[in-house]
Formats: sequence, C-alpha cells, structure tokens
Amino acid sequence: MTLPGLALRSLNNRRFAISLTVLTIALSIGLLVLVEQLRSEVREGFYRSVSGTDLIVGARTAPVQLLLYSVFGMGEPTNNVSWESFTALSDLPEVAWSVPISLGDAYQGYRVVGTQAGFFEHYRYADRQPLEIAQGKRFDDLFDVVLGHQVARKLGYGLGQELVLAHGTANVSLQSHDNLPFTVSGILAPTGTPVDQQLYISLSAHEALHLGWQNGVPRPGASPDGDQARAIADRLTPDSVTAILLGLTSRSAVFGLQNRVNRYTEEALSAVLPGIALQQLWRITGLAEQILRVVAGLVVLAGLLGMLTVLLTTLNERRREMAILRANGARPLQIAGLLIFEAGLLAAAGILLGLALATLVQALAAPWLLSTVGVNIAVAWPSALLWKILGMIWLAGLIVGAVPALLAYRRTLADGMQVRM
Amino acid sequence: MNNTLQRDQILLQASDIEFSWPGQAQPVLKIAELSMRAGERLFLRGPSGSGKSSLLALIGGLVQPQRGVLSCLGEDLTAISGPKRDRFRADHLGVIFQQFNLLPWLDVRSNVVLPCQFSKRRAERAGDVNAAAEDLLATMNLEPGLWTRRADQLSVGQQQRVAAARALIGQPELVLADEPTSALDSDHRDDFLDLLFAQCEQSGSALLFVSHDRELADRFQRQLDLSDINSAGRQTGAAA
Amino acid sequence: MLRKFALTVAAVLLVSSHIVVESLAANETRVLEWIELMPQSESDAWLNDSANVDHSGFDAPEPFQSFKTVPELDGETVRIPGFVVPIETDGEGNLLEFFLVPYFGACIHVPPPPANQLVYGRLDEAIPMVNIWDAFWMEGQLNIEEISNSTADSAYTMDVSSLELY
Repeated sequence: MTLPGLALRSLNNRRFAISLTVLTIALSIGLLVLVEQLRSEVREGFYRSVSGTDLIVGARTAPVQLLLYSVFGMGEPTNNVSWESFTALSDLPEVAWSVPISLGDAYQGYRVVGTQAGFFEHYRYADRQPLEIAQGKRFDDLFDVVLGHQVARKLGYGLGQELVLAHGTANVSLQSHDNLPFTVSGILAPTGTPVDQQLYISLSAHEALHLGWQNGVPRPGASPDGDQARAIADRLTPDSVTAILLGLTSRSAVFGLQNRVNRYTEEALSAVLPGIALQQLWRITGLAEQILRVVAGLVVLAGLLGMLTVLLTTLNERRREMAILRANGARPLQIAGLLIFEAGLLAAAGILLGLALATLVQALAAPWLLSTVGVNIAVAWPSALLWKILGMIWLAGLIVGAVPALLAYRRTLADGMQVRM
Repeated sequence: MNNTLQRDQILLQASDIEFSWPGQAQPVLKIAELSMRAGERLFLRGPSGSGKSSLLALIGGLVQPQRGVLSCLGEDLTAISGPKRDRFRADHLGVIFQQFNLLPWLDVRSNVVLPCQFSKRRAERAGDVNAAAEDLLATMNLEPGLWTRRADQLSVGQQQRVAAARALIGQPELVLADEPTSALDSDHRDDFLDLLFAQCEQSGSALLFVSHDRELADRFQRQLDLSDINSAGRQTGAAA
Repeated sequence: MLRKFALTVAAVLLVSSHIVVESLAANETRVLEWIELMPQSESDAWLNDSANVDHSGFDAPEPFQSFKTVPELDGETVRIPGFVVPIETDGEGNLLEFFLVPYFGACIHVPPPPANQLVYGRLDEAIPMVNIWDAFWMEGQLNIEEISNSTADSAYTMDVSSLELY
C-alpha cells in the first residue's frame, strides 16, 4: 500500500462529499470549455460560409447587417438594389462574375433565395470548395427549385416533390403562392453552411411569384398561373434584387470598386468585403464573449474554493488519522503531500469530467445550432491553448490543496503522540 | 545506528531532560535520569496530566526537549533533524495508543503493514510483509476471517490486538504503549497483556508501558512512578 | 575570485556576440517604406496632383491613380508594415491570403490606396486569423505579377515568410 494508495482509500471512504466536489469542479470546467469551444467553432463556421466572393453589394446598410442577411439568412434586408445598378456593375471590366440574389419568401421556416445559375458556379465555401449537386440538376423549368441538404433531409423530400412557397420570411405565413407550385429538381450536397438551410429558385420565378402583388398582398385576379408565367418567362426581369455577389478579375481592384460603389450618387449602396464584415461582427459579439469568459472563470474559481472548503472542513476529522500516520513513521511532509495529492486527483477528475460534459453538450446542441444559425459545429479535441488553460487550472487546484496541506503540516508538528485538543 | 543490541545493553538513556510544550511557560517534564535496557519491560505509572504522553512524544522523536540529551540505540535524538527522527521512529519504534489506533477505513491487514510503508528496515526485517502481518494477527488470536474486514468493524478488544500486531511487525527494538488496556475490561486486559508480552519476547522488543492502573504493575520486570522521576509534574495542570 | 571574473567576461562576450548576430540578421532584410513601391515619377505627380472629382456612375476615376510598379523590387526580400485585409481563409477560419494596406480603413470609409500601394500576401501555411485593427510587420519575397485590368498593369504580391505584430 503506497501513499497514493492510502490517499485513494481515504478518498473512497469520503466518497459522497468527494463526488459532489468533483461534480462542482466538472460543471465549472464544462462551462469554461463550452464557452471557449463554441466561440471558436461558431467563428470557424462563419468563416467557412463564404469564400471566393470579393465583394457583396446591397442597399446602403451597415456592413455586418448586409453580410448577415445576404449570406447567413439572418435579419431582414432594409432595401433593394435596382436592376440598373446590377447590370451596370456586371458590365464593369474589373467584374469577372456577378450573382444577384433576391430574398423575401420562405418555405416552412426555411429561406427561399431567388438567384441565377451562376450562383451554383461561383459560390464557394470553406477552402474555395464549390457547391455540388448531390441529386438531380439545377433549375431548368421556370418552377424548378433546388434544395439545400438540410432542407431535403429534415422534410424528407426527394426529386420531383411538389411544394408551395409562402410569402414572407416568418415561420408561418398567412399568404402563400398556391397558384404557382414548384417541383424539386435538385438537392445540394451538404456544406455545413447556411446553404444547407435554403431553397433556391430562379430569379425569374421569384419575379413570377410576385406578379400582381402589391404592397405584400395579392390583388385578386391579377396573379398568373404556371403556364401563363412560363409563356412570359423571358420578360420576367425583376426591378430590383436584394444583394449581389461579385467576383473580380483582379483582386487589386477590390478597394477601388468598393469605394466607387459606396460613393455612387445614383443609388444608396454599400459594398462590403466579407472578411472585414466578419471581423466587425466579432467586435460586436466580442464584448459578450469576454463577459462570458469572465463569468466562466469566476465559476471555476468558485468550484476550486468549494474543493478548498471540503478539504478544510474534513481536516479536523482527519487529525486522528494523521496522528496515527505520524506515530507509525510518516514525516510531516509526507502528510502534506498526501493532501496535495488528493487535491490534484480531485482537480484532475473534475477537469476530465468537465471536458466530457462539454463535449456531450456540444454534441447535443449541434443539430439545434445547425438549424438555427446554419453553422456546423464539429465537436473537436480541445485546442492547445485550451489544454494550457486546463493545465493551469489543475495547478491552481494543487495550490488550493497546499492550503490544507500547510495547515496539516504545522498541526502534526504541534501534535504529539496524541492529538492535543 | 542499526545494530541489534544484545540483551541487557542500554537501549535508551535520557539525561537532564527539560521539556515544555510551545506556548507553555512551565515545563511539563523535568527528568534527571531515565534509562532502559534491550528487551526490558518497564511499567511507568502516572495519572493523566503527569506528562506521560509528553514523555512518549519525546522518546518517539515527535518533539524535542528544550534541554538535555536523549539517546536511543546509540543515536542522540536531540541532535538530529525532524525528518531523521521520523525515520528513526519508523525504523525502530512501535506505538500503541489507548484507542483509535487504526485507520478505520483500511482493512485489518493493511493497518498492520503500515509501519513497513514508512520504513524499509522494518519491511526487510519482516520479510514477506503480508505473511508476517498474518502471523502476528494469528498470534494475537485474531482469526483469518477478520483480516480483510474494515478496521472499524472490529470490537475495541480486537482493535487493540491489531494495534499490538502492527506495533510489533518488523521486530522494532522498542514498543511504546500509552494506556493500551484502559479501554478494555479486565478479562480482555489480561489476555492482551499475555499476548503482548509473548510477542515482545519473541521479537526481542523492549516495552515501555505507561498507565495509571497499579494492578498491572506487578506483571512487569521493573516499575517506575513518573512523579518520582519527573520533578516538573506537580506545578503544571496543562494537558499533555 | 578569478574564476568568477572569467565567467562574467565569458557571459558578457556571449551576450554581446548574440546581439551582434541578431542585428546583422535583421539588417539583411530591407525595411521598405510604402512610398518606395511607387515609381519616382508618379510619387512626384502625386505630390503635385489636385483632386479630380467626378462621382457620376461607377466608371468615375479615383482621386489619384498610380498604376506602375518599380521593377527593381521584383524578387527582393523585404519587410513592410501595414494593416491586414483578409481575403481567403482555409476550411477552418485560418488566414491564407490577404492584402497589406498602408493605413487602416482602406476598405471601409476612406479613399482606397492606389494599386501600387497594396501588396497581396500569400501564406504557405494558414495562420490563426489576425485582428484587422492591429498593425503588422510583413516579411517575405516581393514579386511583381502581370494583371490585365483597367486600374493597373501589374501588382505587387508577396510570398509571406512572417507576419508579426507591430
């Protein structure tokens, strides 16, 4: 029976109180790890969602807002971009490609995006990955719709499925476009980005949907049916679009073009660089993140103090134990070491359990986050920085253990053969 | 100093000892001379508060006297450091208290083996440590069924006998016993003494037995009254 | 006594030789000023130029255009300070390619720098995303690449060997 063995047996004897201590530490560590990992995973998820797009152009609005509603389907657009501006931009020599997108409709809570075929060609995510069609093809007929991976999966739809889109982006709509049903022509491969949560129709189809609508309400008798719409398909050019994704022929032109768009006198527009807009988003969320980190840190401190309390209160009961050990030849340093070993063991157990808890919570929350924010949380091994932080917390646990250890050390020196009360 | 002493050689020699606990003005021990021989059984009588526990703490090397020399097995305990005294105690001394001798959550055999954990010498002298523990437990009339039980599941009498087995494992040269029978009834007390004496004889250990119970004194080779040798005991009322 | 003295001398020599080696190494990499990226003729013109403002349509020219690069800088290993505009990331949100610009806000609200006052940096291995509000020292081999563009004939790029906080 070695000293660590003695410590283990002794802890086992007090296992109820000890389990509670370990649980307290575990919960606090779990919170800390969760805050850290979710923070970096959400950021990573956002960075993954847009790649290869040099500029995003929309009605004049804050850059973060433009990015959020155009790429992430979060928030509402304030205004639109005129079709004239779109064509003018597309014609510029420094613009290699331009993809317009129109928002405004939904299907069972999922956003419907009106766009052109160029979207499937030019949109990139993660490390310049292009979109892939898993099944079927892009839109061909006017009323074809391409589903993002999660939409198809959650609703259990396959190719050929018919759907009726609703007007407005609320979860439930009171108006629907039932005169113009759509058919699923393709399903996209999963991307782990908001693309998975959206449905894609052609811009002309989006325009057809709103023919005869005025101020968000259909005028009776003014909406065409499917065949009528197809007949006039080539005349279905929208007046405006919500936003435009741009790719440039040469990257160096991006600042000049952005400046010109922002100062365009004919229309109030904004052009944003996605990378910059994201960092501005982090600046806003950064404050909340810092507060969360501080809170998590304080909770860990509370957990360690809880361990200190337990160790100190049992110290008195264990004076007899220590006198016995001393009488049998234990040195005061060995007794102190026993207590520090116990603290280290408890802290380590708490940290490992906390890591497990955080991983579990992330695994459970991942699906919810995916459907709400469109961001894929990949539950990962803790980063090097996180291990360092956990290591320092463990050392703090040892230092906490040093407090009762020091008390015990001095007491055993003061006690004789019998415990002096 | 790890020589085994021949019988009747001087084991322990205390001279001009003066000791007071920290924070106490009056000394609790003032002993001019006290000695013991190897293998000797010495009964030291003293009521509570007479300084008997302090004396045991001194001999055990847990505390240092303010004055005087205490030599044991040729080693001057007053001249060596704390850790060395702890090592000395582990190597050469066995201890039995009045009660609560054992780690309650540890099984009986592991309790007996405890000194061997802190002293290589004791472990070597015991040989196969577990087997030696079992032999001692058997000699103390404790049946094998008890050996794996938790210590706090035994009766007081049984616990005292386990404590004796523990004090004697590895054949220490000196066993210090502080009122080991005071919690036992008279039948168990006599049995206990018989077993203790037999085992001390067997391992050649000297026994310093401190108690207030005069009735036991006659069973010992030598008797001393602590108040006779301790000139400090009268003034102080502090607990020791 | 002598031994202590000898040890001290040895220590001083070691430390000072280290400092000398370090400064020699630092001196190998040329520190570039942004104005050096602009040909002499154009930087003179810039100083004399008055703003020609015409904001009609998207084709309106910028207040000042400077297209040409300085050929002598092609292939040079240099060190230049500036701000980062992230352009490309890897699949995990780490920085791969970016613009280094002379002043903050070049992409937000102030007039953009001329084409030869930008350097497009490429990293071999993605690094953790940096803060756009911090200034950095960028070091690496400067290259001049041909591009066909209405705004410039050629542009500076760099194979970045290090990006350090200013």
